[in-house]
Amino acid sequence: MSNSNNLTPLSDEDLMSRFQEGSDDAFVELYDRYNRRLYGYCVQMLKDKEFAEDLFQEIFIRVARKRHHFQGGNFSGWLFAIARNQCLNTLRDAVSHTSLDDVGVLRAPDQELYDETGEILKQAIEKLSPEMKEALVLRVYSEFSYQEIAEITEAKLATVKVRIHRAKLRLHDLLTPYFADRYSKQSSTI
Amino acid sequence: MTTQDLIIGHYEETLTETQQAELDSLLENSPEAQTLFEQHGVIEESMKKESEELVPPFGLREATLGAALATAVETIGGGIAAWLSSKIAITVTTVIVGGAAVGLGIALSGDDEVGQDQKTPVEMTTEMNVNNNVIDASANDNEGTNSPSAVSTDNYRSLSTSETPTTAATEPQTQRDISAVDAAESKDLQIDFNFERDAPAVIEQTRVEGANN
Repeated sequence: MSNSNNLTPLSDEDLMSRFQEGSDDAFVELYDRYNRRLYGYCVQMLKDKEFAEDLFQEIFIRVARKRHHFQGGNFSGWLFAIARNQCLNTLRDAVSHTSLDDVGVLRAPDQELYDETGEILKQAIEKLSPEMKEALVLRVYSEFSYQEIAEITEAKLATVKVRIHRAKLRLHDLLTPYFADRYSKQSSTI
Repeated sequence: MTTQDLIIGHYEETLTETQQAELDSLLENSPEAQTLFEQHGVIEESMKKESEELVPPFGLREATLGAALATAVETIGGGIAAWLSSKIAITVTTVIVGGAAVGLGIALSGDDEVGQDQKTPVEMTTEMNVNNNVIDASANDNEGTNSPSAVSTDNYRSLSTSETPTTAATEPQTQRDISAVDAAESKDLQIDFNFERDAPAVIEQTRVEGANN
């Protein structure tokens, strides 16, 4: 399943149109364009790579099966709307949201700076509300604009901006003990 | 706007020039602002780094594309199969319904033709019994015997509508017994006719009438 270079200049919507007409290469091109962003979304939302890979695969299968339901418009919005529905169904079945009261338990593991921050950060992201987490993941890991996130999540543009802003504030609050711990370690080594 | 709002806006690239200038001023003059800025920078950098590292495993591409495109083919195949199935079902249904309608039409027209001979089950059974009596009586007569037991046994053995009496000798007896049945029907269809008891008399009467004719 190789990618066809002659499809590269086409828009997502044109590729989808070609796929609807039976072009497998068009679907492969769409996959190559979106696989990383979609994978990031799945992993961040589910926090379980096996679940995420199953979901990731299921989303593309669904896109192929429902290809005739796409009638123009924004392909990425349509794709991530499918992803979001699938993800929410999985979460509803499998994941229970942890209480935000567990804030103080975050401590830095003994690793390199970004690795340990990354590990702590994953835990902190899990402490966000589902709405804030989703907006942040779509922004950071799927690289969507505010407007695109608003369309995918069916929220107002201003609401999306506020959610992302608050998510980052919240992340900083959650990571404050870790930062304090880190700075105290740095001070003691100096 | 607080310092953190400005810092987050900076990393989101949403600050106006004025706001950016305000943040720059804060960072120059406030160690706390610098610390906050660094901390947010670590968060942003960590998220960015993790985002770049999140790549689907190599095998997942082939598996996903294979499964998805197979689904697409199945959908097309399934659609064609469903279309053909529906057409075949419609054709078969049409043939069955049409055939049934034609058959029903023939049956109805046939009923009209034979309607005059149509009898109720009670009439048919009674008539058959009577006819059998007559036939068996005739047979017994021919053989020179009139054993009541023979009449009774043959009566049950030879219940058939094909055995229709055509002789004039049997007609009066048949008519009389049907009248008797009509009368009996008004008494909850209880026919007071005992073969062993009544058959000899009937046979004798038939013989006398036959002799008279």
